[in-house]
This record gives sequence, C-alpha cells and structure tokens, in this order.
Amino acid sequence: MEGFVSFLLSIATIVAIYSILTLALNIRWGFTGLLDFGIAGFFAIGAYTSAILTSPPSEELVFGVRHSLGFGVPFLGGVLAAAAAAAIVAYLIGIPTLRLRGDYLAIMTIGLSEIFRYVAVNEKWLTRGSQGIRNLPRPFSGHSNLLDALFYFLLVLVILLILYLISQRVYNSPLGRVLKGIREDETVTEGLGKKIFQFRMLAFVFGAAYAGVAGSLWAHYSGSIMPHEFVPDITFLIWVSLTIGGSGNNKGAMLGTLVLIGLLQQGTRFLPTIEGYTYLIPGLRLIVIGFLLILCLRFRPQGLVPEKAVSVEKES
Amino acid sequence: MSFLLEAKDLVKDFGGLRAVDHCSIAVEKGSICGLIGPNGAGKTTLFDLLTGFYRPNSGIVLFKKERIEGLEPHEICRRGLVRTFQIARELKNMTLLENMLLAPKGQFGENLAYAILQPPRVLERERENLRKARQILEIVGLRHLENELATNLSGGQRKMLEVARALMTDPEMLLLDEPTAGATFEETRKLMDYIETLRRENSLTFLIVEHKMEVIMNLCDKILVMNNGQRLAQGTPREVQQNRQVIEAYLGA
Repeated sequence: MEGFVSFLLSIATIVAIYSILTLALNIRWGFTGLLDFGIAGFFAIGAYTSAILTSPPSEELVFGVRHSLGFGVPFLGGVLAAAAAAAIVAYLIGIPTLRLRGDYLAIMTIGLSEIFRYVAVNEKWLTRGSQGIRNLPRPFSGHSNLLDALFYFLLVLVILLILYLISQRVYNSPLGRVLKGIREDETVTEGLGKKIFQFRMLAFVFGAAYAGVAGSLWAHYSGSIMPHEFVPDITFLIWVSLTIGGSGNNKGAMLGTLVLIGLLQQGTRFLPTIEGYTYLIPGLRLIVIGFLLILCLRFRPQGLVPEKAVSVEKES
Repeated sequence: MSFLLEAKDLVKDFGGLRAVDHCSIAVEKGSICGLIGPNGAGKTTLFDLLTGFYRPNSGIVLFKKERIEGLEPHEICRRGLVRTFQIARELKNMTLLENMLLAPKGQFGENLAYAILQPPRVLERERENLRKARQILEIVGLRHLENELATNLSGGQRKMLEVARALMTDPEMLLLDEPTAGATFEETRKLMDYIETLRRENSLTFLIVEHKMEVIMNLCDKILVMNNGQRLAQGTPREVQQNRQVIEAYLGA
C-alpha cells in the first residue's frame, strides 16, 4: 500500500514539474508563436544552477581532478537563481536569434540546448561531467519517506499553481493580447505600433524562467542530476503534451502533460518487463505516443482543451 | 499651404525592377487624397515606403515636417501615421474586440509587471479602450459581432475591421489600401460616410488607394495618379478625369 502511494506521489510530482515546462512552452509557442525547441536546455540550466548553488560546499577528487563545488544556498534561493540564470541566458541568446523567423529559430534553439548539455558533460570543474551532481538537498525532508514525498509534492503543486495563475494573468492582459497578435500576424502587430522584437524577447525570457524553475524542482526531486537527463527528448515530449492538451490554453497544457507524462510515460513504469524483450515496453510507449499525436492532429488539432476566445460581457 | 505628409523623389528598386521611380506626393492636413493607377503602378509599394515597411533606395518622407523614412513601422505608427493592408489582415484567432483592443497606444498593461499585478490604472485604461472600441464597431456595423473570431467575418467586414482597428491607434493620418475591396454596396456607402465624418469632426487626413471610381471621385479633394512607379498626374477629380494621359493609362476612353 505504502509502495503504491509513494509511486503515485512520485508520478504526481513529475507531472507537476513537467507541467511547468509545458506552461513555459505555451508562453513561447502557444501565446507568441515562437517555434522553440530549446526547452530542455533551459530545464538543464535551471537544474544545474540550483544544484551547484544548493550543494553543501565540498572539495573532492573526481577522475583525479580537484573540484570545489557547492555554496550551501537554501532551497528557495536555488529556485530563484535557477529562474534568473535561465532568463539571463535566454536574453543573451535571444539577441541574435529572435530576429530569425520560424524554422531558423527552431534549429537554433535545439542546437543551443544540445550545446548546454555538452557544456555540462565537459566542464567537469563546474558540473562534475557525466558523473553528475549528487546528494542534492530536498526541503522538508527528514521525516518518513512517504511524508517527505508528500511535502515535496505539495510544494511543487503550490509553485505550479502560482506559475499557472501568473501565466493566466498575462494571457488575459494587454500584454497577452500583443503576444497573440504577434502569433497571428507579426507585420500587422508591428504596424499597430508594437515593438515586436521586444515582445518576442519578453516571451522567450519569461518562458525560460519557467523552465528554470522546473529544472530546479527536478534537481531537488531526483536528488542527483546528470547531463544525459536533459536530451531533446524532453523538449519533444513537452511539445506533444502541449499539442495534445491544447496549444494556447494553460489548462490544456497541464492536462496534456497529465495524459502524456502521467499516464503514458510514468504510469506505464509498473508494467513488467517481458522476458527476453527488455526494450519492448519502452519502444511500445513511444509508438503509442506517436500514434496518439497523429490521432490528435487528425481528429482534434486544437487539442483536448482548445484555446478559448477571450470574450467580453455584452453589457457596456 | 501646410502639408501633413510629403514624400520627395522616392525610389524603390526590387532587383532590376524599379517599383517606385522618383515619385513625389504631398497631402494637405485635413484632406482626403485619392491614389489611383493601374495594377503594378507602385501604389502599394509607395504605401510600404511611407509607413516604414520598406526602406526607400533614395528620397525622403516628411510627416509633420519630420523625416520618417528609415524609421520602423511601429515608430511611424506612434507618430500618428497608420496604414491598412490591401488584402485584409485580420488577426484570425482573436475576437473582433481583441483585434480592436490590441491597437491603442500607451497601454500600461503591456508591461509585464503591470500585466501580472493589474493595478487600477491598467483596468481603467482597458475600460476606456473598450468603450472606444465598441463605439467604432457600432459605427462600422460590426458591434453585434464583437465576440466573434475575426476569421468568421466576410471579406467586406474584414476590410471594415482593418479600418476600425487602425482608428484605435488614434492616428492623425490614415493610409487606406483599397478599403472597400470586397465590400457590399451598403458597406461601401457606410465607410465613405464615416471617412467624411472623421475628416470633418476629427480633422483626420486620408490617403486612399481605391479602384472604385465612384468612391474616389465623390470622396476625394485631390487625386494622385501613378503609372510605372511615377506620378502621372494630380489634381481635383474633375481635372484628373479629363486628363488625356490618365485616360490612356488608366481610366480608358
């Protein structure tokens, strides 16, 4: 029983963390129409920033190289720094890339997210390379395993809720209107006096901050991070989640994550391995995800929860 | 005589094609000026040059006595010069009201912190803009569709929405690119009356590209005729109608 509850809690926590990533993509793609394939990169930046800052100060030899790592910053500081670091990096790479349109931006962002990962592999003095950073502190821990897991899940849930509410506010504000305008037709929006580049940058940076927070929460959830966790697969899973859930709709983004990450990816972990066919289940999982995406694009292209038109009450 | 908008010797080349060829125009404040000419004469390119969507190869553009060539479209819009597009470019997946409310200048709520915190001044400004948007939609006959997605509009209604949306930026001068293309007789009538009213009551200035001669001849104080990127003639509707060159190039005998 306890095993089952902790299994559910772990899935719920992962879904909540990934939901923040999907919200990030929704701000960039769903609101603004930025064809962004770099979510995993900002996820990684957040995770590493938080991991390096919150690790207790230590010096040790790894592969014969002396590393000093860790600043012992408290958890909340790690989360905020992760958001800030991801946002700053997004700003810097936004300067040259955000003038690019559509597919060029896609190529640039996926390339950059891979570069971040290789930096994490190679800059051993900072990230301990492919060994990864371990023994990351988790807040509210030290009770029973179950209670620890429950507390952390609630914490992630509260942060998700706050980020959701902020994103909703933005969507329904004049700012959200400009972002949607850019998505619909950049030229028109520019002609109506809006400085397009500035707003694209804002969406890019804002989304990066969300992904950074998700990265930090992930690092402290799993307790250790390694570069190979931040492969572009994550970016594509998030894209599928958003597409299935409903691009442009924050609730849809979260529902899509629940369906894809919760039910399909994590929920199928308990399936037994079939003797002699170790890779059958993971392979089938990808096939099912692909099939689901095709079905969705064919029969419900606007997603499970389509974007709602912002309508104003008739009374003037 | 005071000109609100002046362009001198504008040239625009696309590769080997000279789309606008040493063209000069001047539009008086508070006037309605027509721009006509055969297809490919360079009318829309001229609009693009005046509003910053293209940079001229040479020549200058003066708006309110200040040079604006080389400025970005959003900067030109903020100075009060706004254009509409030949093929209506409504923001399809946004409602009519959203289309309208996007346009106003100086919206505090476009700032991230204000968007999240929503202080009273943001909501206040939203209410003002909403009131104005509904007024304009009422006049152009789209008020009953205010919460429809713009993609559901008919061709004529789209053109009306373009004009209405441009008005929301509080312009001093509007460049309308075939505003009545695809519009019904009724809609055309309504738009012409509205343009006349805006000129009279808000002293707006207009430069209008149009192919419907009854619109141009009845509405405009002055008409410019373009052909092959050059200004062929200008004058009152009567003068232009009797001009031999214009008849040959455009009006037909």
